Amino acid sequence: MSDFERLRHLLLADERDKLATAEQRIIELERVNRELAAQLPGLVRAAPAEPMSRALASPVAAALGNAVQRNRASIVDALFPVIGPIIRKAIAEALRGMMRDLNQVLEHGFSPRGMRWRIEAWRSGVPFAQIVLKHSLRYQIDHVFLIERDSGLVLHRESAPGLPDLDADAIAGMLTAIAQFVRDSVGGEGTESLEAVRIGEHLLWVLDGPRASLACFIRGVPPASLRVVLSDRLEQIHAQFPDAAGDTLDDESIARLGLSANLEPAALVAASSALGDADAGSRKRPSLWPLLLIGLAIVLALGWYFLHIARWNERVEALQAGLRAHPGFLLTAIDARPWRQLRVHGLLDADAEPLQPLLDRADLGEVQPSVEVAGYLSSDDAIVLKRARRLLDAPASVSLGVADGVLVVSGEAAGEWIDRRRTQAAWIAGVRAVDWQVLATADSPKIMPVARPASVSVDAQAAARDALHALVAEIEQASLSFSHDTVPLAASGDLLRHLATSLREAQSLAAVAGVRLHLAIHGCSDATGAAELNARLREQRAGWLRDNLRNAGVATELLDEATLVTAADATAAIRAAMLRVQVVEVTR
Amino acid sequence: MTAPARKVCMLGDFGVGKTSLVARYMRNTFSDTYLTTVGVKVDSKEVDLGEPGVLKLVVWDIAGRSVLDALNMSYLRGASGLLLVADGTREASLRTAIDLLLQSRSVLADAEAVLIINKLDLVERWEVGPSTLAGLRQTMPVIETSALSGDGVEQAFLELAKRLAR
Repeated sequence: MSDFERLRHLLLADERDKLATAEQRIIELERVNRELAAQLPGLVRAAPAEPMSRALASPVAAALGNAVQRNRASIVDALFPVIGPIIRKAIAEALRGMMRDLNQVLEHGFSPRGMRWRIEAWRSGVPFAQIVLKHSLRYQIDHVFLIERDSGLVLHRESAPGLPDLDADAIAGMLTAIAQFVRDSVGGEGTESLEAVRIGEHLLWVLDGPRASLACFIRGVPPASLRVVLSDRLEQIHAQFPDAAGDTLDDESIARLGLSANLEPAALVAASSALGDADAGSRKRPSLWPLLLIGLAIVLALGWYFLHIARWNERVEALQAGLRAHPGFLLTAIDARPWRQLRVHGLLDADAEPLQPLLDRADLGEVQPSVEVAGYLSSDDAIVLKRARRLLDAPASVSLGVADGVLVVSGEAAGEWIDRRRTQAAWIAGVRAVDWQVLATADSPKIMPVARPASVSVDAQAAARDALHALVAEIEQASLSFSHDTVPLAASGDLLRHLATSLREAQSLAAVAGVRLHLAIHGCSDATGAAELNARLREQRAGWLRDNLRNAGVATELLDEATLVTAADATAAIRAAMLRVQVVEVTR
Repeated sequence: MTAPARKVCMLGDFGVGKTSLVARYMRNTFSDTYLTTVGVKVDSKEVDLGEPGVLKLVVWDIAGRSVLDALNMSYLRGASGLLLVADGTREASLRTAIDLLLQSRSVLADAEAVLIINKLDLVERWEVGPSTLAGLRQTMPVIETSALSGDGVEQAFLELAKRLAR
């Protein structure tokens, strides 16, 4: 050891010892701290609960606050199992309350009791809601205190039976103090005073008089009439209040004022109920006259309306019957708006009588009936007869009649007429059969349609011309319809044969009349499809008619000279083919 | 028959032990928080006076202060008696009690008053001397009490009740 070392050892011996001791203590403290961490839970458990919870309350609250601020998600996760049931319980309570309210509304709205209350509301003139409240309100008066205003001392008290005892004087005193405190805080010494306090279902009403106040402790929702009753009681008490009542009332004063009877809770409830009923009863009953007048006006208006409609319907039905009975008219529908509009839809034969006179007789007021008709061939006997008369052009000596589709032709006529019309008669639309009973007159030579001699009389020539023209008209009326393309309808076979026969006859008549026939064969198509296709269709249909007429025996030269008309015709937009016959004079 | 009731107001400086006296003697119907909110706490006690019967004291414990404001004055209305409370260890509280008595006379000219010198348990530290007390006793009843031990408390209320029952 050097001198220096020895000197240092001598000089710093004490400090060295202290340093060693301090180091030893630090080591000891560190050991204790390490052990304390392990022992802390046990120490906390072993400590007395009350001081420990008081000591921990503040740091735990602060720590919780810090944790909420810094690590909100973890707190939310930790509280989730707690918050969920609480929210569910609150929602369930709210729903239960809502269901209760809903049930009450339904019960009041639709139950027999609800209906009774509605009738009561109507009879008494009181709003329905007020009647419901009157019957459904449940309230109870627990205590009634008559309190001396200045001192706050209880002059008299009444309580409902069965309630626990309470320190009425202390309560009245505090109530007085609080009322003074409130008055001092908000209004000074004015007339304002504490009138009511509500906490939950508990309600406290305070009514002030000059010398005494009435405090009424209520549970539930009281009617307004209760306050009127309490005011009335307080006024009665003041009217008979002894001049020197002091701080309390003796038994004699209480009996004289009738306080026990007047302030008894059940008596107050009964008086309030009676007052409510009397108030409702004294309410002016609403006059029924306006209601009756309105009802009468409604009944009259409805009566007039239904009468008006019945008159319209009666007239329309009469018109409908007339239209159905009108020969040559087939009624399909009537669109009617009573006394506003009437539109008749139907099919009308060209030979039928016009509908206008029938419509004029309908007497529909300002309404002008409109008619929308399409043409058709009627098989009605009357119409068929008119058609036969028009087409046959019978002389006066010949009478026509139609019965059940059978055309009866009788009388006398020139042979020429007979020859021309006998065949034609069977082709008149609607004629099912012909009963021909016409005798030829003796001075009328019979015209033979064929093998006409080279020289014919002028009369015969003229007659042939007339017959030819009639026949041409008939030929031109015929129209061969196709279902599609060049496929004819089923009925077209008969019409084709008839056309061929008519053409042959026309040729014969033309020979007698000294004229020549030229045919125009029209092919038609509807507007459906492409124009090019339709043009080809028209050509095909005209060609089809020409070829089939040739096959049916019509003279080839007549058909060869025929013109095929295949231009689009807006007026004949149908799937058909037809003939137009031109009678050409022969120049000699 | 219900006992007649009299309103009694308890006045005194802050910390003289009014509330402790009430707590020792009364029913403690309400919480002390009313003292700090409304400024008063009301309690009641029936005192059996023997021959005159039972008298109910309705005691308004008015929050301690040295000067009565308008609200405190309104609390005094209708009172028949006053309990003035002073702390024997603080002579200033005795002066305050006397001041409060004088202030209350504007509202309560005829109210019976009893002076309570509280904290008898600390009598060795009293600043109020016997001569002062003797002088005060010539004008009103003075009763030494200890809210801690209960000594004199019932006597003080009984004394006031007797005077009120006259």
